[in-house]
Amino acid sequence: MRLSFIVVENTEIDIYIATELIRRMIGEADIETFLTADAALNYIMLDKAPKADRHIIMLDLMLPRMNGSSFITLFEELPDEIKDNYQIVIVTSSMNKAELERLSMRRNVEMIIEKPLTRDKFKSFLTQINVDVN
Amino acid sequence: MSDKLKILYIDDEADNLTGFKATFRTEYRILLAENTTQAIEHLEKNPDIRVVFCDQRMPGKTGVEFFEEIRTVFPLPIRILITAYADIEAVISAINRGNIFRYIRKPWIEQDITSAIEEGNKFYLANSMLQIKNQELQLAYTELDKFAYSVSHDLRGPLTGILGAIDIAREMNDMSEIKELLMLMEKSVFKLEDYISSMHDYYSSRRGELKIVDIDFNQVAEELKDVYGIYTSTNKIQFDITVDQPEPFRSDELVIKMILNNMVTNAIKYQKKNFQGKSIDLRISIYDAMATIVISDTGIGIPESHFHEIFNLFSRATSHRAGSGIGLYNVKGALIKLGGNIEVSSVVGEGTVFKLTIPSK
Repeated sequence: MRLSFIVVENTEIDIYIATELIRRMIGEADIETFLTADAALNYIMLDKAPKADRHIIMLDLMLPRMNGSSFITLFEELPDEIKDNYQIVIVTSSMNKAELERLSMRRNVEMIIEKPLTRDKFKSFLTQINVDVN
Repeated sequence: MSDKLKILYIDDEADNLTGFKATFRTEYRILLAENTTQAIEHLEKNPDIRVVFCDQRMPGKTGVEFFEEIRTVFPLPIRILITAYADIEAVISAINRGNIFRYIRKPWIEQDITSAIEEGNKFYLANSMLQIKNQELQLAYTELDKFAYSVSHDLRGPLTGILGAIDIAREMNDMSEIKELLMLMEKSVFKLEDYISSMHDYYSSRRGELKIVDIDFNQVAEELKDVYGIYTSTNKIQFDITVDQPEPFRSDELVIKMILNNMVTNAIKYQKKNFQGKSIDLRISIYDAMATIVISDTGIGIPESHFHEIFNLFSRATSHRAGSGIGLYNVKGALIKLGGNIEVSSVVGEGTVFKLTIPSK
């Protein structure tokens, strides 16, 4: 199964951790990283992602300019044939329980991972969406 | 215009108006209106009217109705009803509907009016003070909210990054991979450190009293060169400081240094990557008891649309650089405290020039 990841994070260390975990647990996968949510949204909108069986968006919430929740709102306005290809996992250090609760109800949001993003947490996410782990 | 209190008097009888004005014109600035339309014009043109006297019985509209109408639009002026009729119903509705401050019986005596104005003015001042305090409180709450957000973003963010990195490092055996990770962790630690010191600046500059001393900018410049010289030369940034101080200058040294440190760190932080000929030019001149500080850099620049917000708390003009969004806010706050000013001009991709003026104390 071919997996394609879109990582939206604005600090080097978080990008590094996400890509490193994908590399270690899945091996072969397409990874595209974005520092801002609007750039990621643009990429998705123009349908630029490579062909894959599953598309997963790893999304930080606290981003400059457009934050994670606005991203989700705009993402939901995309046509079904695009957005149904994607599964979103929110990866955040936010402590705003009410906001996280609301976001977990959104249709395309599979899971919310509270940072730090560790091997264990990433593994349980992959298991939940039925992806085999190395 | 003098600083006499502005008083508005509304009565449909011209004689009463003339009498009122004649009696009180030396002590107060009296505005007169024969009807409520004129009265509203006065209120619109003079937002500083302190006390409004209105006669109850007027054609078209009663005093109570008029007060009821203006109390939401012009809430600040103190409302006082004047009437010849000892009508208890009118008094009740004046209090309940018109929310009046006092009730004066016609024919009035001078002393009643004067005391009503003086008492009304005290109430007005207390009320305005309360409003100002409320606004300050609101601002403090807004800042607290932003701070709560910032705690999870700027404090928890780098920490969780470090924790995640430690978790991955446990599985690593390759020294070069570990070193790369250490470098990223170090960056996160620096970010935290930077954030904590600006938080410290923020609170000390807001709460602290100024300590005014003589400032020798040549010495300040030497210190800046000591602190930033090594960093700028290893990063190939040309860093020049010129000081022209023919006269003494008095201010708070710590605050001045905090301002300069922030300006220089920003100029370093926002340099263009991979650009030959990076430079920072700091010019300080003191003339006529005014320090003018101009700092120009060859950085990434700031779009004009962001000029108005770069001095706000936790605002970041750029997405992927290390900024806490407190630096310029602290600078601005400190300048306000010193009675100074800051201007910015910038061309995206070319660089930014900040011009600061600070008066000597």
